[in-house]
Amino acid sequence: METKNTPEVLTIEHLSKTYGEKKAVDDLSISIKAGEIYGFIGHNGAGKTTTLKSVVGILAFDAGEIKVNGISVRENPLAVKREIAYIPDNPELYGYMSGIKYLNFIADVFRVPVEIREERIRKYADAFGLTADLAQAISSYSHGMKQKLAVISAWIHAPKLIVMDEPFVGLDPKAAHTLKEMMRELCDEGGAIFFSTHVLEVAEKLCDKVAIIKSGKLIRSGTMEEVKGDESLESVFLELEEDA
Amino acid sequence: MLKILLKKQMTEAFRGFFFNAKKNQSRTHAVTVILILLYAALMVLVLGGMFAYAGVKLAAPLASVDLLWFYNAVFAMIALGLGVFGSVFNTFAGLYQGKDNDLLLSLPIPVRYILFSRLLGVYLMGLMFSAVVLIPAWIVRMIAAPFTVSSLFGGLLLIVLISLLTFVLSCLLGWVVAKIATKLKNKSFLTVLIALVLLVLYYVVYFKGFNALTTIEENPESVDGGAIKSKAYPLYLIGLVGEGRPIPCLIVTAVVIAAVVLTYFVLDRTFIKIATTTASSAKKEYKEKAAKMRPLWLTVLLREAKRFSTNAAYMLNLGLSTVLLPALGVFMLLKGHDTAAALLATGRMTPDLIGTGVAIVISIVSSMNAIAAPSVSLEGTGIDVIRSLPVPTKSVLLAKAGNHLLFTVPSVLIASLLSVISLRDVIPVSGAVFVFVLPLLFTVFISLFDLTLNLLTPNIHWTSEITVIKQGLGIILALVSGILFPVLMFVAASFLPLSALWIGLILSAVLAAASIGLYRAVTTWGVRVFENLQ
Repeated sequence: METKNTPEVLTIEHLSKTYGEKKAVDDLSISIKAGEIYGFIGHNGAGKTTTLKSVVGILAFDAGEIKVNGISVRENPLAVKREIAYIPDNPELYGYMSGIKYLNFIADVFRVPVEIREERIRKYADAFGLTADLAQAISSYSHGMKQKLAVISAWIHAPKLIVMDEPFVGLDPKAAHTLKEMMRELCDEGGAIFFSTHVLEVAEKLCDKVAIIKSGKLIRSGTMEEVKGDESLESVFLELEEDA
Repeated sequence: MLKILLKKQMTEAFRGFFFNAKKNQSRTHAVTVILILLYAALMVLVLGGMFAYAGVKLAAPLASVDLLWFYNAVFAMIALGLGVFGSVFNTFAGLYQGKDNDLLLSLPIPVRYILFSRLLGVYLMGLMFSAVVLIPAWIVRMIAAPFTVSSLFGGLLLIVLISLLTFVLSCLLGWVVAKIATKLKNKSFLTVLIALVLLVLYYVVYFKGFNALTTIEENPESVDGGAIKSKAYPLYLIGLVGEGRPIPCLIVTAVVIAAVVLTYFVLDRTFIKIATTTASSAKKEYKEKAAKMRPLWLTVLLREAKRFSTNAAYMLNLGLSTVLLPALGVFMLLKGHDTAAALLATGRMTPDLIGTGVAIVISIVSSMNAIAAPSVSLEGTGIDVIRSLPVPTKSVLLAKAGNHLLFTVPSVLIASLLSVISLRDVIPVSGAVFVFVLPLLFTVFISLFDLTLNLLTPNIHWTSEITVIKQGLGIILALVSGILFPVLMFVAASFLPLSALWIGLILSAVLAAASIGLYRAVTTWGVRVFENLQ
């Protein structure tokens, strides 16, 4: 799958971010190549969301460099945003729009041609069983339905990199399975996924690489085999949490 | 427990005074005090001054014919009308639609405590409106009419009773809206419709009342106290409370307390059901339609337009000019010519000054639209959606100003066009041009000014959106400034020793220059503020 020549989609070098006195992220470096599903795990408040928000250009960081397909987030955030999609941990979508209006809004922003967007909406909404609800106001959606809509909106412009914060929260087992298939399909087509999760079983089965962060510092990263060896990811994670 | 809830409620309502959301830190005590004083000064000087002026005109004439009870009753009704009109639209959202409903209801907090803490917010809003009318009227009555100790205490009691009565009416109307909203799907439309009916009633009463007050000032003997007493006895009793008469004080106090208790009882019995009920709507079937590719500027503009047009509280509090301006145009078409002729006949107006005057009147009415004023705050914690998309922040901000223009400019044009048609043989061509140009430039200026105010006082961590639509410091400043600027234009037009043409040109140049300055501020400093909001 991966070769030395596989291009890097995301590179994070020496990222640091401080909130007042607290170092949320401390000298963190990660790189993700095309075709990789990269899991990002850590305890609550470890710095995962801060890192993800820095990657997608929502949060200004203090030091370091983040590049997506070689484009600096700091220098050209708009160009980076055109390459990526972001699903926050608790997507607060516009409740006053219907599902279809929201998807068309996102598609308009990304300049997705009409025929292509219609095809993708049909494909993914059907896959998630959301088609019948697209005319409803988002304010009437359950958390899981909002999460499905956020996922469809992220896939609608076929981004090179999708950044997701706890994407499986609120999804029913079938939808979670569909999302995993979509993640693998996107990576098979040359994209990459960077996502945070607390569900270690999912990370273990799904991810090509994983990074563990604690108190803002990267304490281990690499391929799944390099990180966990013969143990389960859960036991490695718990050991590292206690040791570090 | 109740104390904790009240503290939370008050902190939310007055957050802008204590917390700088832009810098994400508490304000210093000095800044908080300055902001509170500024707010108080605006309320006292602008609104309070207006009612004090009306009091000065009425107190002495009515005292001369022994009708001070009628003076009290008039201001009590104005306070009640203003209070109910000002807070009824927020009561539904404030009581039932808090984002923390689920959180609070899941905690071991008695429901009546949640209700009580929210009702306090409704009461304070009513009290503010009542006090701003009744305190100046009470002070003027003490000075301009014979002083009595009983009227001193009676006036204070009247303020308390009217604020409670405002609270009762606001709650009951809010409850009716809530009951209807749980049955209907398109509740925004219904709320706006009800509000517009109330608005029409309000203005009918206002204009009739204004004429009546002018008549009273000129001829106080025309007030038939006996007739009012026999036809509207409660009004008479309320008026006597202001004079501190013991029996009316006891009766009205007892009635008001009973009304408050009954209101609380009704709300307490129904609160949890209404707060947790979702509108029963038939599921709308999705039928695939051909999509259309929209340019980016239109996409972000329509996002703002949709947010505005689906939010009743937003439309009613900050978008009334959209309806009022065409109404003004119709009024001008029917009465404008005669009014202008009457003004010309006084010899104090010239035809070209009438053009400038009409432009300023249109600007004043258009200033009731402050659509951009809460637009940054309304992004809420969902602000990351737009910030994670490849949309230049400049475009996002300009769409917010553009939304104000979208809902204001067509109405301004209608008002201007109908005014010019009505005055076509009165005002010169240059005057007619300024009837269009000045309000349009003013609208552009206000759209950017209000947006700037919101960027100066942003609050994306609200629990109820009504906090940012109605109670934000920026909103108050926007609405007051919206009236103040045209008044300054009027003062300039009245006192500058120049021809109407030059006055029009100078005002246009000032508005254009200010708009350009604000545009530059919004697209540079404003962009940085929006991108760093946390």
